[in-house]
Amino acid sequence: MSKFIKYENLDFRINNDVFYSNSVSISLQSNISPVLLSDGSLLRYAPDNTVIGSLSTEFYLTGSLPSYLNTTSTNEDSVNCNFAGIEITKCYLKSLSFKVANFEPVLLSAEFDWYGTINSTNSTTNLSAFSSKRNSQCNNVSHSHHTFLMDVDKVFGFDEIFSFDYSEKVNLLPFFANGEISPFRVAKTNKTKSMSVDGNYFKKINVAQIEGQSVYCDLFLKNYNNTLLNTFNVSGKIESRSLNVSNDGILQSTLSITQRLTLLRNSL
Amino acid sequence: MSKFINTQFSVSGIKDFDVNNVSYEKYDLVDYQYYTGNGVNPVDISGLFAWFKTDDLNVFDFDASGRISVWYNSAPGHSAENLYNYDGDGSKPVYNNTTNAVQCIADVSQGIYNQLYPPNGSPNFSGLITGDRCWFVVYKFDSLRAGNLQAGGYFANYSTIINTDNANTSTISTGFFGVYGNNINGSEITNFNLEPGSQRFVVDSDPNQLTAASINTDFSAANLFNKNIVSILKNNTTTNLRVRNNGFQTLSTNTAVFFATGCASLRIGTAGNSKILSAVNYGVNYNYDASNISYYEIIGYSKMPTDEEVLKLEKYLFEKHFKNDDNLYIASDDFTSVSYAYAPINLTGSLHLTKNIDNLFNKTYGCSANFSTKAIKTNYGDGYFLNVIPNANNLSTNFSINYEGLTDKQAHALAGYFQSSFENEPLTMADSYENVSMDLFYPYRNDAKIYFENLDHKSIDSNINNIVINCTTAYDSNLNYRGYSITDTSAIRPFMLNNVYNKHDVIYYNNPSVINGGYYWYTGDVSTSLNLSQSPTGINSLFTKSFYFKPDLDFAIPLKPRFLKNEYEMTSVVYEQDGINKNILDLSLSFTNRSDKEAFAVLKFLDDRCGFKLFEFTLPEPYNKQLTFYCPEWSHTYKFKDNHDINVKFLEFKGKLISDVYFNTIIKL
Repeated sequence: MSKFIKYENLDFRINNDVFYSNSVSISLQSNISPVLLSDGSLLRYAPDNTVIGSLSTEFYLTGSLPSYLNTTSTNEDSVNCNFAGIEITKCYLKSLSFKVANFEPVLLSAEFDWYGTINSTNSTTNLSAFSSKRNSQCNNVSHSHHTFLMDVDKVFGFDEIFSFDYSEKVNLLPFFANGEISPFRVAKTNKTKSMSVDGNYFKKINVAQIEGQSVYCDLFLKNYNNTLLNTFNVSGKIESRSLNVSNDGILQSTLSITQRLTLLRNSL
Repeated sequence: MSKFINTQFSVSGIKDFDVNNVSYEKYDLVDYQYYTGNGVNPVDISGLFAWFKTDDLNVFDFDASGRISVWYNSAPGHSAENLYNYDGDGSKPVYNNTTNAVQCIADVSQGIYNQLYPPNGSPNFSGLITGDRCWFVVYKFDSLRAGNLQAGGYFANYSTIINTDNANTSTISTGFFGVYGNNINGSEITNFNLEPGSQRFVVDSDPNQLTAASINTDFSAANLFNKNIVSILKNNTTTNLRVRNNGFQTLSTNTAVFFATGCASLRIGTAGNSKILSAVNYGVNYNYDASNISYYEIIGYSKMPTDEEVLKLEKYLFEKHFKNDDNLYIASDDFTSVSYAYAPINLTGSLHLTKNIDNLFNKTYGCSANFSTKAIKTNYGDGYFLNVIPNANNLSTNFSINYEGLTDKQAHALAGYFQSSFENEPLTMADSYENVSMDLFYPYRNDAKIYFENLDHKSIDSNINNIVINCTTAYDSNLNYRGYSITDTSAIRPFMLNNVYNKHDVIYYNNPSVINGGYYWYTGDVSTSLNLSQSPTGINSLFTKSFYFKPDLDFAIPLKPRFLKNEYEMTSVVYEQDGINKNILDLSLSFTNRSDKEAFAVLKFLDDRCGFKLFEFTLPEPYNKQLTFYCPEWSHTYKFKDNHDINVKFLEFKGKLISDVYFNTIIKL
């Protein structure tokens, strides 16, 4: 009979901070090429690149957002992740996103690339005790109830906002010293923040003028108790705008915003 | 900052070296100048009584065995006050023409000093007892950390700078000033105050009791560098004795403390202290196994110079003997410079400022090398030709060294370092600037002498930079049996019977026959212990000198037979045969994604063939014929760990391997 391990509560930690996580998944991707010789024989499978791991997780934020989850910061340090009795070293954050919709808790998604090792232990016996953070009251989790989005320059033009998505992403660029399979540096490039806002009908008359239209908005992520967990902001341009309506449906308008982040070199 | 660096370099933000509590960050570019003023010719400072230099051989008298018996004084008016040694041959130093220095060679088996000394009673030399004196000595010693096992334990290595010379009864005094070392185990027994593995100045009030030679706090801060300008300054009025080492003041003391009756003389050499036979040193009279020490220049004045004169004179010696030790350095860590000990020519400073980029910047995958022969091809018709090798540097070698993922600060430092290499002063007559000594990449040699050619800088993003430095090695010779650019010890190991060999192992078979000797490659798939019949020339040998490596599956073999095509006027084209050997193959083959070991073996093979030596290669199916080739060009890219690409060009040669004779430097391994 097959054995399964059922997790009712997932103990997911980043740098030993406990996160109220719903799911964690990891995968590994090797990069090998077959080497075929002139006599038709197969010499070997050669490594073209290092094995790159992916780790993704979804979690409710129960406290302030730690600095290592700031995707677009200049910090290039790695983090260690633990779950299900294993530890994964040298994880590098490449995206953080979440959706805020009425009456819903806010579930954050984070994705990492990792170049380190998995230190496996017997997950059935070595589970650490959950901290109070993990067993937090529901009032403490990130929630849409008090979370709000401030359109500082008032360019959205909606009468009402239904929901919005926030995302920040980077491309990770690993660099390897000769003879090494673990990178000495994983740099961040193509840093972007983006938002997609769903609302109803337009109140403005010039909503079609989106070319080069600047937007600045602040996003205040809070828990159900109205405690501010983190402030996000986007200072970008309108990328697209749409208006949808269908029989028996509601009129819905969508606005997407993107911001490309760069670093002033003289500030380094 | 030197004006030249400020105006000629394309990077800004180069910091001056400063000792006034100035902080530097890792990867800062730091311009180091010994002293910003000009040097001075020693004769332009009054009081010069001793000037021993090595500018030409006329300043020496050599004995019949070629050892130095006199080092003549070049100070005007003091030609009779020389440094002598009329003792036995073994005690005389030699002139080293490679380093252009007087070298005192330590040899415990000789059991005698190896030194030079002034004549008895020479008033200027012994005048340190009674008057103002100063000496400036440029010297370099081998590591003092070796120690010498004698009865009772390890004795330290030390060399004398000022000799108290109590053997010279006319100038006897009390005191010793020298350099002293302890072995790494700290087991030397002649100076318990010295930390294990250290080498330091030692000053002692009693020349006979070096077991605990005084090392006060300031003095011990002066860890020794192996190349030194030592300035010894004695003010008779204030009875102050100051010692400066490479610009850093290591000692300021009262002569009454350490040299109660003054210091008698200046004796130079390996073991010139006056340590006497005693129970403390276990009956060992002298430690004759002091390290080799070389002297480049010695200058003496019968006065106390001003501080500015001291700086000018030290600058003169620095410019003369410390070539390329000034100008641009890179900070190897964050540090604050609070004294001249932080100058890069001092030991403390050398830990923070460096010109060695190998430890600062990671070479990254994508490094590549290109080789091509300079052979001049002479065609004889019928497909026969001769390759004439114009010189010993037969191969043109170009390396592209990748430095990817650099921060802006790292890129700034590397670009500055690259430019500074072109400002090096020449150490030889041949070049107008000195090459850079740095490691290449696998499997090429470390500590290669290379010249930078160009630098490609690509900005990927803010604070992300890729730099490729293209460079060449100019002085590798195909006369060296070790090889051109692959000289790793794993490739030059001699063949040993009963050793176990694995596929692609490279061995050197030391055989006097040009045909049978040289490098071999093991082709066996299974490693096994070999017997005589399996040696490189044995009948069951799996070693080969043929190019046995198999190229990639996707290869191309163009056949371009030679023929004559005559186009006569008013008639059709006429095709005619062009002698014999019409099919001279010109192949380009690839060996991609090869392991470290196979790549090493392939590259060592090509390196050994030098771009013109012949070898046999069996064409892959469907040709399957063994032909003779040479490889005038090849390239290599280090793609990833254990993954290399190699591309070769093979030209067929219609001749016999046995007809070729090559010069080989090896006489005996």
